[in-house]
Amino acid sequence: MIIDARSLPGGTKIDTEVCIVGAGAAGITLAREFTSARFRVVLLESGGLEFEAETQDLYEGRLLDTTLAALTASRLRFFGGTTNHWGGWCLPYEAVDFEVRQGLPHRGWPFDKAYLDLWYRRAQEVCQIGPYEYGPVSWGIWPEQIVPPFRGPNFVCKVLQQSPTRFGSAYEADLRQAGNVAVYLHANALTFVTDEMDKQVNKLSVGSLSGNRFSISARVYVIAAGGIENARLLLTSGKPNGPGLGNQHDCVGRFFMVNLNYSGGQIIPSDPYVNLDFFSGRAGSVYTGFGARQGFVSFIGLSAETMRDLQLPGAKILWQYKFKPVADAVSAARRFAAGESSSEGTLADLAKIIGNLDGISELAVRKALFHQGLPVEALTLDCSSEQLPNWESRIFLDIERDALDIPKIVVDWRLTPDDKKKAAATLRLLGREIGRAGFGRLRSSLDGEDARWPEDLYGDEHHMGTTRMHVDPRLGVVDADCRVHGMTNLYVAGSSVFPTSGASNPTLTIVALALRLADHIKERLM
Amino acid sequence: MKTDFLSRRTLFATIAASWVSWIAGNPAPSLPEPSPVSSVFLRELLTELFSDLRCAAAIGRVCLRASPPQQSSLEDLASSILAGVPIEPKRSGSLPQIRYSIRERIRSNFTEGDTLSIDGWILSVTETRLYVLAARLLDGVEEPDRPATSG
Repeated sequence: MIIDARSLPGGTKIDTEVCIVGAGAAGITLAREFTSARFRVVLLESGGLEFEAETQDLYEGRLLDTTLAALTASRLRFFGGTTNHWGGWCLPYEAVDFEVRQGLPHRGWPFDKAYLDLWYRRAQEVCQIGPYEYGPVSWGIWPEQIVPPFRGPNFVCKVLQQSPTRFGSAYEADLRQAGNVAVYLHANALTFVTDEMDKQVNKLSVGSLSGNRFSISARVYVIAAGGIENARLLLTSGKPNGPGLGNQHDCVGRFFMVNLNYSGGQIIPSDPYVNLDFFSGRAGSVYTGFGARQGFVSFIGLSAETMRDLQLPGAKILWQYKFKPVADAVSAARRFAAGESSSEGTLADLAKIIGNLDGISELAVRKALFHQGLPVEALTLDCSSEQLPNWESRIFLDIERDALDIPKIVVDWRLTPDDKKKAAATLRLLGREIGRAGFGRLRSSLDGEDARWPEDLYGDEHHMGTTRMHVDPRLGVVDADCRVHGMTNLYVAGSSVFPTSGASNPTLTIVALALRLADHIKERLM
Repeated sequence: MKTDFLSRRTLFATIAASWVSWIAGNPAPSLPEPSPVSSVFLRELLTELFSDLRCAAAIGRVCLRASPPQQSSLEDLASSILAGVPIEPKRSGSLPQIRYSIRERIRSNFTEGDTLSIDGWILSVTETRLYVLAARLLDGVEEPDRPATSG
């Protein structure tokens, strides 16, 4: 059933077995897993079934670095959460993303990828995408279609799947019909009330913007409010003037990470007519080989071996085509044939002669003369890199409060010099590989030791790490079961538990971890 | 035809000198004193390599501004480009083979990381020298005023 919490009498006390805070990808996945259980579940959602500006404003906070995506634009605070506007890109983290790796501090998960595969497979169904297959061949991309240098050893073609699923609209009916699940809309978690030692949550205070206040008592509580709000709720809970829950080692809110998005530069292909059909680009392609139409995106990434050998974090590289106008190409080809030329800047100059050095210019000209395809002048690179875990990158409570009298948050997002060095090294390696393969030349946007990030750098909407998972409570907020260190009945779901990320989009992993947590809670309660 | 013959002969001398030094592992000796003819030969080499010499020269000017070459003369520059190109002077030396060898050397540069970053472009050391050679051949350019970053 779905209940508007504004209709509850003030002071209502609700008893349940499981209380989940937040009805986004993680919260809805958890609640659905419990629909056939014999225990009761309460799912709290701050917003309603549709967008409401007043509720969305509760996300307002202060960014100390404005190159981070705006807090009110990067998230959605109503039933379904941010999946109401997500792009649907699904890709599991790679085995290497889970590893503790030399040269990359604070990296690694408490378990490996193979362990999580079981839940990844189930997450595919929840996200309503194709089978758990991510090899390019499974998507009709054969190795011989992939041009060097993108078929190894350093750079490879990778595939992600596109989910069409808005979790709110897709799963509202399931939860509405479930006899043991009560969804409360317009119900904001205010603070956890704990026992004397802050070891156990006794109840959760809840409020509506209308002024209504009530409480939930549960055996188990799960915070699934998003990568920033999870930490915020821990920081605002516990004893007055205390450090917050799970924060005995000052870890809550730290290690805040996003994916780093920036333009990587330009590639001039030696052959303007090179066949790049293996690469779908951001727009993606549709594959029907699995019996249904399934959207996917093929892109370029570092191979696992290279990430390990060169101590590089993950990177997702896509490009956009900059086409030569056909008329220009034909006239250029004629000039070429006549031994004439025109100088139009380094890019144009290089574009004209790179093929000579790489040994394919004659082919390109022949193709141009016979009008075979549209010639490519350049490939403009869009990069998305993994941010390295950084203790100094954090969120904390502001003195300013929101409409519910909860402290707003301040985001002090910080990168390390290594983030830039690793990104530059990846691009430099790409430039070398492109040259080695005779594919063309790269102009890197991160040029030199003292290079600045490209002006278009921005930290994206994938908020991670603020309640990170670690077996050592000094280095993490939750344990390997996603239970808050030192607490008996408080869990966290969502990307805030990611100890490190990769270049993959996080939602599939969020759902996989939610399924795993659901199994854990079912085992605990049944 | 006579020009072709002469140019190739001089070029072969260059290659031979470079080849000997390559075998010996020493820096390439200087070529014979510059002459209008040797420039013609180098132009012939570059014409064989580049469909558009003016474009190569334009890039060479950018390279010169960004990265001063250590070689002070055209001949030294040519030697450094051709040093290590494994050509047997008596048996081969055809321009297509030189072209092939240089191409392989460029790829080897990329493999070994012998690259330069010129205005962000990641270029092999060998091709950079070729561009500079083209620039110097086509027009006397001013000496560079700022260093490049090593790739």
